[in-house]
Amino acid sequence: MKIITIFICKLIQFILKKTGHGTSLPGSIALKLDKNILKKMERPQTIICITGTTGKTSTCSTITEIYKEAGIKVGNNLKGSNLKPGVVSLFLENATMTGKTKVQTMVIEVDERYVKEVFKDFIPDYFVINNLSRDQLARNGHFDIVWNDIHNAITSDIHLILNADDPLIAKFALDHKGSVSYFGMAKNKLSTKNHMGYLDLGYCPKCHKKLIFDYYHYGNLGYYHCPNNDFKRPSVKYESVLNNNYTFTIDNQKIKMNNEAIYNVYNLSASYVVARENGIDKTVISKALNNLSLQMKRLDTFKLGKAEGVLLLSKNETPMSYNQSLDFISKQKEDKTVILGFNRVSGRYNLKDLSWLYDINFELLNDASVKKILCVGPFAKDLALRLKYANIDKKIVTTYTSSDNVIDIIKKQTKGKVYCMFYFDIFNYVKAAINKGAKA
Amino acid sequence: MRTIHIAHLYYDILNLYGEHGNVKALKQELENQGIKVLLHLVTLDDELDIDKYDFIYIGAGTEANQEMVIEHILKYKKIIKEAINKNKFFFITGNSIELFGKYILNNDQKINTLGIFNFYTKREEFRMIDEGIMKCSFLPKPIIGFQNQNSVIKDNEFPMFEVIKGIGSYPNSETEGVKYNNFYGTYLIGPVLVRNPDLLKYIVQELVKTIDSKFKLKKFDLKENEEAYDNFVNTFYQNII
Repeated sequence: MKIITIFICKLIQFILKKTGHGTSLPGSIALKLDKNILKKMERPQTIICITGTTGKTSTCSTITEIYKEAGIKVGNNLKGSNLKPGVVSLFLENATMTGKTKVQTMVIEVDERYVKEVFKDFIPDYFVINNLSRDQLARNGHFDIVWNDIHNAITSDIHLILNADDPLIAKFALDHKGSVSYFGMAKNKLSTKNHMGYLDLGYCPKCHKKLIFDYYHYGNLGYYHCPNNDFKRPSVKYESVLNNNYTFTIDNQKIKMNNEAIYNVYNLSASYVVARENGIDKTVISKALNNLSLQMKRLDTFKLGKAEGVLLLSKNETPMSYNQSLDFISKQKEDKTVILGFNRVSGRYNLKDLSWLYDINFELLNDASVKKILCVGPFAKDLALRLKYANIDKKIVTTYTSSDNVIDIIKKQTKGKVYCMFYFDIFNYVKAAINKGAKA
Repeated sequence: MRTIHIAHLYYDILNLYGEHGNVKALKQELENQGIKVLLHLVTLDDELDIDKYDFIYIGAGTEANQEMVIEHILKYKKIIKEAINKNKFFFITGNSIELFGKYILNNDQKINTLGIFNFYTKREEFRMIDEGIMKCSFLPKPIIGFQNQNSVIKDNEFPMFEVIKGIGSYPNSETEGVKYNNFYGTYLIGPVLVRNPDLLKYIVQELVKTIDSKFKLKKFDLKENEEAYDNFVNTFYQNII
């Protein structure tokens, strides 16, 4: 049965690949044929899993690059989905007909809600947890639920790789019987005494006293301790030190970045630490990371009529990601127009919760260089209302309750450089128009 | 008119679902009326001086955080009960409404709460998520918002809303929220004061009246709030309302 299942699914995989189609279908079929299929396949020598609200994909690809640089045969699910069928597809793709593995290391990105499902079938050797923050609350309820699910799935044979600067993530180590390594940042020029916005875990998980932060790096990340000394930011063996001119130092290795975004430092540091703990030579790791900065994806720039700008994905319901984009826009010094819009709150469900808009720091757009803000789509008025409470001058805000004419709006209603933040629906529509324009 | 004192209780621990938007909206409307407002951010380990505040707001939180808050707030049970009986303003959203009932049932565990009202809370094994449209007894237009919770309240004697669409106090219940004197409690997130301009106006009027009955309110400028409300209702709820 095992061989038949693998055969059928590999055949489907082959056909789909030839026709240029997506990749979680073979996994779905395999699970239907044999729900324990994963247990029956040979396990690669090393399995590394990565989860978190943001940065999963880029951490997964970074770790893969390191192993390739080290000459190790490695597979990952970057092209597939990060839910269970995607993981099964990944195993099938890297297996022989008899279920033997063709790779030495497997790097797997796992959706934070599916960790408990995936870990039923195999336990990774290393488990990287980047961060957990507010994300699709109408689907997830809240992060305590996600945290508990992940916590219950962790067993003592797993070597945890945790973000030391995030108390919510460091908390996973409290009752962990196995190995734990940390990544984290030393105090630097971006560290501040004041936190931006809300805190998702401001209290000691042991004695419930408010944590004292000596400084914050970003959001709720920083250097903390409990007044009773029950819980504190753990010490980090390979601590990252941010330098000037887009580099940081870890383990005496200098790493180049293509931007100074703090999340970038965390993703690279997490990748460094897991590879180092797995015995990869430090010069090999730093070489791989430095090559990476050359090939990292560029911004999605466009020209439509006379309007020139950047297309960014608006991560609805995920304030941490949304804030990163707003932060990027606010740091660009030239005069600009910002366009915000989405036709649906979520691609997953039809519910129209808007509360997440108030967890996003739209106050970042309160800058003299922002000359116009255009809100597009059926929720344009709700966006404008949010901007009112960010104390943004009402005179610069215009609403368009349909996104049908978004291309015309970009072409004719903008001033200066144009920064578009659209959800997938409008994003893909605009992107298609840009590509069409490029061909014409 | 003297300064109005707003207390945002547990601002750093019960702050799920953008709930601080409610406080922002209220503060801004009072200030637009030329009234001085002092916002007090109060949390665990702080002394809770209920008498000092004119208006108390508490937002939604996770179950674990709610339990930490219960431990703290129970110390002030008597003072809070007196304050509600003496018409102090409380505006409570999300699952924090549960703090004011008798107890919370969590499987076999019974967590005592303030016991100001006779309802009790039951935590369920499933989450309840839906948009909410509610008929409000003291306002002509319906209230809109969202519910995202895994607990329900039962035996509520003082409902505030009638359910037009949504979960209400529990699945298929006909009512939602608690209104008693100047205590306003609702499971609705939104933020409900931002998204429902008539409710915001009403709360401002009632609050100002109790502090200085002679104070003359200017016309409100809630254009953005009203446009957002009207657009949302006309686009999505045409056949419901």
